[in-house]
Amino acid sequence: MKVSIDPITRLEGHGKIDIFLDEKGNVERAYMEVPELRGFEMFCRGRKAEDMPIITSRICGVCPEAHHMAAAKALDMAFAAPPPETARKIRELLYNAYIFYDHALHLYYLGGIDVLMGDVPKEERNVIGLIRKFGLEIGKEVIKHRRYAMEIVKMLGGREIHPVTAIPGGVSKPVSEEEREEIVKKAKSCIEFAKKSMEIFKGVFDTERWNEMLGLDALHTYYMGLVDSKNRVNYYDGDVRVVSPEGKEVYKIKPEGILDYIEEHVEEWSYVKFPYLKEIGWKGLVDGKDSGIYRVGPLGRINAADGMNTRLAHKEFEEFRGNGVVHETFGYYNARLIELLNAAERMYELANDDAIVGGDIRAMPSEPGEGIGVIEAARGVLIHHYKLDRNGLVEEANLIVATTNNNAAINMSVANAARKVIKRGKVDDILLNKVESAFRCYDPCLACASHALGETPLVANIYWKNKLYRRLKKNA
Amino acid sequence: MHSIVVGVGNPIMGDDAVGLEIARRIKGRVNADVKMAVAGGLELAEMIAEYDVAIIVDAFHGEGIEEMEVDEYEETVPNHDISFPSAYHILSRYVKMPRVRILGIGMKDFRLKEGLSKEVAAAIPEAMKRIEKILEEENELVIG
Repeated sequence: MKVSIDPITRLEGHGKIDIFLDEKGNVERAYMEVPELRGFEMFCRGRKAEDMPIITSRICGVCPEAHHMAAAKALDMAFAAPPPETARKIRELLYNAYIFYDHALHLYYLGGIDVLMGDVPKEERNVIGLIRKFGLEIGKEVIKHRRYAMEIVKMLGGREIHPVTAIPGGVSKPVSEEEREEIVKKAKSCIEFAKKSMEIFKGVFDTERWNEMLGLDALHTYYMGLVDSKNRVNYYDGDVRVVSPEGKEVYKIKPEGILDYIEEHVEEWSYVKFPYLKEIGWKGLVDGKDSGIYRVGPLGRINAADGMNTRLAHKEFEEFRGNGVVHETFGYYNARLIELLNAAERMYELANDDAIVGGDIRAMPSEPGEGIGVIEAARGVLIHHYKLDRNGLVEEANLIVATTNNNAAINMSVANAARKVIKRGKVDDILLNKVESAFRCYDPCLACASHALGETPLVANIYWKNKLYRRLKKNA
Repeated sequence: MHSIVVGVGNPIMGDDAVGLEIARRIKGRVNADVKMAVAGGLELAEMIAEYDVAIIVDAFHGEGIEEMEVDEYEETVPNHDISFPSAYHILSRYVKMPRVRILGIGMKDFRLKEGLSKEVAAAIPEAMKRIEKILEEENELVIG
């Protein structure tokens, strides 16, 4: 028997979960599949390099800031034009605003519903059910603060959602004093909202139900994330740090060297590749120290780091990581909350930094060459790699996106959750939602993973005795 | 009356860009704010919040130019978690949401490429007239 969840609800892009049951109706194996639109890299060839931050941000309606910034960083390197301090800080400020509103989306509209609402009928498994449970006020606060963060993106990026101001060597627009004052006010309010969010979610983290959710899946993988010089989480810049399942540093890599450390495994049943740590090797869809599978995203970052770069978030980090590396997949939610707070605090810090209103916002590009831009999308490490010809046109473009980095782990988490909840052929909506909830922890963006540029959802197909036993098709 | 016209689409997916092209051309010609959106769903709903009237222009899998209801605007929302109808209804509980008129332009060529097909490009003037007419109708409703 095979169970499919297709297209996966409340997630970006589109995909399918296939679950195969054995003779007794227990889960034998489970996979997540994503259809791919091929040819995006080909589409980029021959284009002007400076167009890449705009073109690549069209891949996805969800992470455009991440693609915009990764492309700009790759071009900084390709043109040997490291941005001056002010430009770097403007980019980082914009980027933290993006992390904030993206995490707020996931926590209150998407995966966070699983945490806050629990096993309720599907009619209540949405933000409206959440309002009934937690009150109208929190709903208003979510809308208000997502809007604040988007307005900051718009101020700094020239446009809401799809910024246009990051260019090779810096940014095209400075920050005025008035804008800075506005950002400070909004960021301060965002900190209060993040603290409130922490309180709400912690109310669940203290319950028995949460322990059950944690028990649904744990993977002893490697973890990867960008860190600053003190090994603290940084979304915009830094070195790529990889830690072992025991939490020991294995690599600390300059972004330009990242591609020497990872390789992509191909499975014939999936369009999305399976990156792994080259030196450790591909051992199949298994965890443990001998398997090169790593995880990225909030949990990947927080496990790969020694702390946060802001006070309140660091306090939460210490509480969460008190006993070392956290392997439970639902730990992604704790990590996401810590990052929500961190992004708000960092916005406030950067907006109060006098360098943010400086006038030196661009380094002049020199001869074109090759560049790699590594950044932390909300859902994990994102890599853009370009080779430019002597006229500054794109010769080669390669993108390794966050969800692809997590592809192996997502497949394992789905299979583990399915094994836990589907027994003797008993499949219902609530059980399938539990399987999906393991998937949603990663906040994957399937549009990015498949470079699919559109169309969402997910279908679940359940196969038993060589026949399609149940099919659940869900719209968001 | 505070109105907004939003062109929705992806500029690198062939005819899917038609909403963006219409927004670009109509900006300054109508008495309304004009914006472009690549994302649908929640972001789009947030973008139109607190206006009196919103006209959304997007490509759809079909032919001709058709006006549709909010609850029909599901299929055309690209790449998003929460559909526009869900987002619209959710936000309605907290903030004033506008009356929404949705104009769909049938696509001929939906694939990774830049530029519109001849047929879809030819439909743009008619679509712009329809937008102007909708704004007139809505304005009359307010005055009336």
